[in-house]
Amino acid sequence: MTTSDTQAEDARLLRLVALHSRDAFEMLYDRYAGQVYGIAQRILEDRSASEEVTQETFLRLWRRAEQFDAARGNVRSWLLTMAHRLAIDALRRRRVRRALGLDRHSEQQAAEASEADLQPGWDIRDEDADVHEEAALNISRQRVRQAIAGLSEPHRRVIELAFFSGLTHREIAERLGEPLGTVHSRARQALLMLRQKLPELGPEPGLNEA
Amino acid sequence: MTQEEKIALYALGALEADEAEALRRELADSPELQELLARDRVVATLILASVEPVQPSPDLKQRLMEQINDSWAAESVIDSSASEPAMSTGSAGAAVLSPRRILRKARTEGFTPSFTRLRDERPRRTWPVWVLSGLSMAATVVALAVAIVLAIRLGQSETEASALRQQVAQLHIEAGAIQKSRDEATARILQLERDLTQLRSTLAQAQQALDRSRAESQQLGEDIAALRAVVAEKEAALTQAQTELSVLLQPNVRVAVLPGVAGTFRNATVTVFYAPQSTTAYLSVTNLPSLPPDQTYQVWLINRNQRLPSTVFNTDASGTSRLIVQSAQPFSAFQNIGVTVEPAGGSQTPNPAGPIVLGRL
Repeated sequence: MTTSDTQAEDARLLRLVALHSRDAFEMLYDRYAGQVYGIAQRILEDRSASEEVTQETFLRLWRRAEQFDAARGNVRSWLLTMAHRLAIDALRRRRVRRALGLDRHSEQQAAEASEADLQPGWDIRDEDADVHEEAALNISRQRVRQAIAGLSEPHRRVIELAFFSGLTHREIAERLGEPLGTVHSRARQALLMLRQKLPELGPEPGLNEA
Repeated sequence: MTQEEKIALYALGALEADEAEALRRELADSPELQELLARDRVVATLILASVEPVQPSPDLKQRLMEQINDSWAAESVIDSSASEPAMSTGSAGAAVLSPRRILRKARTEGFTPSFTRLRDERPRRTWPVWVLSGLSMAATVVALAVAIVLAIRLGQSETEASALRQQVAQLHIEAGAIQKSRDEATARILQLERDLTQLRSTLAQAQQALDRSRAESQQLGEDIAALRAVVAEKEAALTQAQTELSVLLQPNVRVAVLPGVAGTFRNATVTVFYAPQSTTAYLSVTNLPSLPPDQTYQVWLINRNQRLPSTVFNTDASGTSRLIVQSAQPFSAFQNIGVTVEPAGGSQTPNPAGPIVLGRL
């Protein structure tokens, strides 16, 4: 089955999920649970927390299926992005919990504390999960990994710390002992270089810097 | 920090909360920034998609399915969550009330709150101290009357609440039935879609087989036509050979060798096999150059009085030809036989340039 077939079928399944079809929901779960759980596990490195993230990701899919606009993104990228956001959020809460010396049972306190103390660079919004260039997702996992492996160590490190360790740019600069400006330009260059290594993504759009 | 850097950090989730919020406001008015962000998001999503999948335990799926199986519970979670903007339908949602929403409405407006209202109102209705302290008969009567009225009202409210409770229960049952038939319908749709996919694939296979056999039969047709042409050619050659043979096997068969007369035709030789009593002769032509399409060789049968036009022919690339010449009279009636070059199709009177091959019979 080609990628566009899969996307069309996902969209059909999602329409059925919007009608509360459990069969359709189960099919989507079977198709993507591995990827969602894989991302949570990669970020959280904890089975129970990763399961919670996976569960929450799919529950949101179930509840929001009727609001999902297939024209604005595809189901798979929505799920992957949602899993990532929830996992990073959980990671930051865990960090706050540990910093405050709370144990796992003080979840409620931690949640309250995190409202004030966490500095997440995003909140979780549906529209953030939309990815327009579905065609880009045809690129194989292997090729993307090779592209990432082809980055220089400092560039890879910035992506790793931001994307998988949930650190903000200030925290990254502090962790690496580098000037803030260096971290900024590396983040930008890293994405740019990945795009160059994956020519299917098309040319980088220009922006006149003021 | 440049705009591109800011966008990249945002796509990687590495901006501080206030910076992210400011950027979001900026994004709303800038299609260029939105475009940049969309590009970076694609890369970010690809990084996510490159993470190796890990299958979660089957228990997780079971728990999740149990959780969604009570879809009413799932709905009520949404209702109570303030962080779900799209679900706060408010009065605008009232025009298109689904059974779920009717039930929700009944729950929130008709059911629980009615008790709340009763509980809220009763404590506020306190008796003024002077009424009770007076203990007069009239006051007691008033108090009793008020108590009775309240008791009746309470009874009415409870009856009302119980009626509402029944309505809610009824709605539960109806909604359950709707959910069930919807599940059945979606299961049927899924099955139909699977069937349709299957049928499409069968159809595509059949179409391919049909295309293949069409191509094969076309090829066969071409082969047959080619074979027919070969057969026709062979048959014509056979007829020719039979005729030639029949000429050669006649009694008294004679041979006349006609030399080329002049110029380019000097080396030509036409050998005529004929029997004087017969009207059919066989000519074997050698060394006569092949003519262009607008010209032809023509045989002439010549006696004292006339030159009779006969068979037209051309030679092949090797300058040879074999032909049968039919005559209206026996060949004994002719003294000479000649060949001229004529315009294509032949002539009634010979080319004034004269014969290129001529000899006596």
